[in-house]
Amino acid sequence: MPGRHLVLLFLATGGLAVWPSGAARAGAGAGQTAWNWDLTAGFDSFTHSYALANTDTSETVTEFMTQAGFEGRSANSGASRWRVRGEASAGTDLWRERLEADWRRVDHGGSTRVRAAGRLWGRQYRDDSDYARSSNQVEGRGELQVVPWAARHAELTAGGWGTFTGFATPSPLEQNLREFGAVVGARSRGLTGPQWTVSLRRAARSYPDSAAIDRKTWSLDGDVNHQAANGGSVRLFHRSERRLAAEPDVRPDAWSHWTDVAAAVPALAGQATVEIQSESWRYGQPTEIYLDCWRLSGVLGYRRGDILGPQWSLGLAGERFEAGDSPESYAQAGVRAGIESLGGRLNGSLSVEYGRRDYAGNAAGEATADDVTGIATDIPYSDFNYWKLWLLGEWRLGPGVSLQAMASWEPERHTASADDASLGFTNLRLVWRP
Amino acid sequence: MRGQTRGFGKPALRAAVLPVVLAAAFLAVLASPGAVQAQTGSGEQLRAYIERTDELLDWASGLVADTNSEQARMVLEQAQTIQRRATALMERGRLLESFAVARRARDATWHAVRLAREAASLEERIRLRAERFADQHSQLLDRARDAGDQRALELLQRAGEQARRSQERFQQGDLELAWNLLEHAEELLRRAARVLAQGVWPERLRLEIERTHSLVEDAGERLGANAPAAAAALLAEAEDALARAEEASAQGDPGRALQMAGLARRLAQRAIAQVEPNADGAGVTRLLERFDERAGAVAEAVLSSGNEPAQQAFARARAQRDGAAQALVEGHAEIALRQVRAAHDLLDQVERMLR
Repeated sequence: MPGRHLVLLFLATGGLAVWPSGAARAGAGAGQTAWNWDLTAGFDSFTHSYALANTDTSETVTEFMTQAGFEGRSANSGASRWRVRGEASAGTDLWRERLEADWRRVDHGGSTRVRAAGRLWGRQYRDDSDYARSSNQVEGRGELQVVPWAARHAELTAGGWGTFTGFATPSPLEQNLREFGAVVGARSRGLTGPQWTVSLRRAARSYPDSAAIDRKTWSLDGDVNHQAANGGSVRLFHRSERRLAAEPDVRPDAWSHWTDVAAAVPALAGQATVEIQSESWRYGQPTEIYLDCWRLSGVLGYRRGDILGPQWSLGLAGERFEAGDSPESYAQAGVRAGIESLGGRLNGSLSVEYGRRDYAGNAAGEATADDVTGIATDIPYSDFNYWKLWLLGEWRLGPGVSLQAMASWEPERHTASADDASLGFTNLRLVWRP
Repeated sequence: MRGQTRGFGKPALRAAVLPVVLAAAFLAVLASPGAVQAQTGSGEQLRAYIERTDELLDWASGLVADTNSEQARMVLEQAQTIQRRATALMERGRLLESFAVARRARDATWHAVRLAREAASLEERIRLRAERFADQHSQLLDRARDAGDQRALELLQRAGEQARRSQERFQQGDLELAWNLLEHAEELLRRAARVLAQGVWPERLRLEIERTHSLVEDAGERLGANAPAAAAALLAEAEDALARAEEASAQGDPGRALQMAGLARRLAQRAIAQVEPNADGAGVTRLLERFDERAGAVAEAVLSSGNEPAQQAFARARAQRDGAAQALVEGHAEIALRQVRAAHDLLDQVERMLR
């Protein structure tokens, strides 16, 4: 069983880690190797409510768990820097293990010249788990990146990665997969001035038990990030990807283009912020399920306060989705407000958004004339008002002890009440870092 | 632990009213003259309707099978169950009931198709977002570790946990929730990036306290031994606030430390204002002088190091310092203050690069 091997691996590496922890922590600082460990107890709860045929269904999954972890890392000033982290947890539904490690070789300017990283995750379901998909699994990833050439302001990068996911009992919904990829690119060098990267990636993903959905992808992406001295900032990101399917009749070829723009400008003792995101999909053979579409969303807002002190924000959010003649096309608008404080013993954030989505077609939510007009253009969508609430909190109870909470709730109230739905998530953790 | 509750709320009401209305229309046909022929005709229409729903169910099954959505599968299963009941009722000649049930099967089929469409789009969007998340998370983690920024590291750890939750929901076929959790993970990542960009912890805090020290000392020198009682009292309060800021900083409470440092500065400025105007300008001047001292101490090391990024950062720090001095001359104390603080931040980076 891969899971059992992972547990043994974890215990072995954890054992190594625990031994030096006391001595290392006594003098641990920025210039020394440090070993730390932590214990966590808490629960995760997920709720998804939606109509199931003629009844409302609220599906709630709650899992209690305890977790032990260790982390070791080298001094952050040397030429060779490494980090290793291991975790193991026991939950009411799952056992989980995680082992991550990376190593970097850094040049005199602080830029990474070689980076190697690997991770291994394992999950084993308990016999009485209520999860519908409960095959034990192991997942791994290894990656290598090198900088073969560096100039004063820029450097070239090249690398590759490999990932795998293996299930103890594969099924059509739990499929083993492998992926290999390579990347070449260039990026800015140094910590000053605009930070940018440009990358060209090639990846091949295969499913040994279902070769029909194998795929290859080419993608080109660029990212520019500039922090101005006056506190303003701008970030641009674009990624274009070409997906080539092994069997386009099963899963069509596709082009996707994704652009993110985010900027903050000092204004009236605070910051005016704007975020815009565009995403488009064009399929080689559009089907009833894979529709050519374009999504544009954005937030225009204002933020005021210090990031370590109380900070508040207000904004207008909007989204437009175009999918040709499909009734799925919609326009959405909302108002967003938030407060946050990240610096105190009690810190966190609360954000609230309220808005409405109007679909292009069939606002009444009734299926009509399907026998006449055909299948694909007849699916009813109903307009809705929505709330989005998100809470993030942390209370430092004492040295090394904190209580962490995260919660979100997103109800939708539709004009056709049978379409009402809500998503919820709650997470509470008591963390001890001796 | 998983709990599942099913009830009859508003959706059930709608589902109950609609068949009644349709059944009433059906009854009107049956009660009309020529009822025997009409009943035969309605039976044929019902059969056609049910056969068409069968076709739609087959079509929907193909779409749902193409996705990873657990919800779409559950709704489709329910639709198939209801459809079988409608067919059985029709074969027993209970046409009115059969028609009402068949309508519900048709609604459930559309619902399953909607969920499948959403899932097909979400699967690829989640994959792309997760890839970018992993890239950014890894880059920010390296930066936070190099900067020794504990606050950013904690945010990144929580972001990573949230991304793993998203991945687990994805594997369970709960794609909407997976998307939702990934969006939250990205938000945590953005916060960590903001914390890192502003050099919040511990560098910025050290600078803020250092700046406050300078200002309070400056206020003490300006007030002198014969300061008015009110000004002396304000200065004493400023010194007390500064001590509390240092205490909070030592206790790992940077937010309170910053608040107290800010209070100390305001009190010191008010104390100076009691004896002379334009306190802001004085504070900036003091920071400019402090910058010149620090820059002078590292200038030779920067030039002889051959470290190009450090030299660039040093040049930018000098440019910011000159900009601050110019802004001060032009009477823009706030702009000057921001620029001289940026100059100090850059000088911190230079010092780190040289270490």
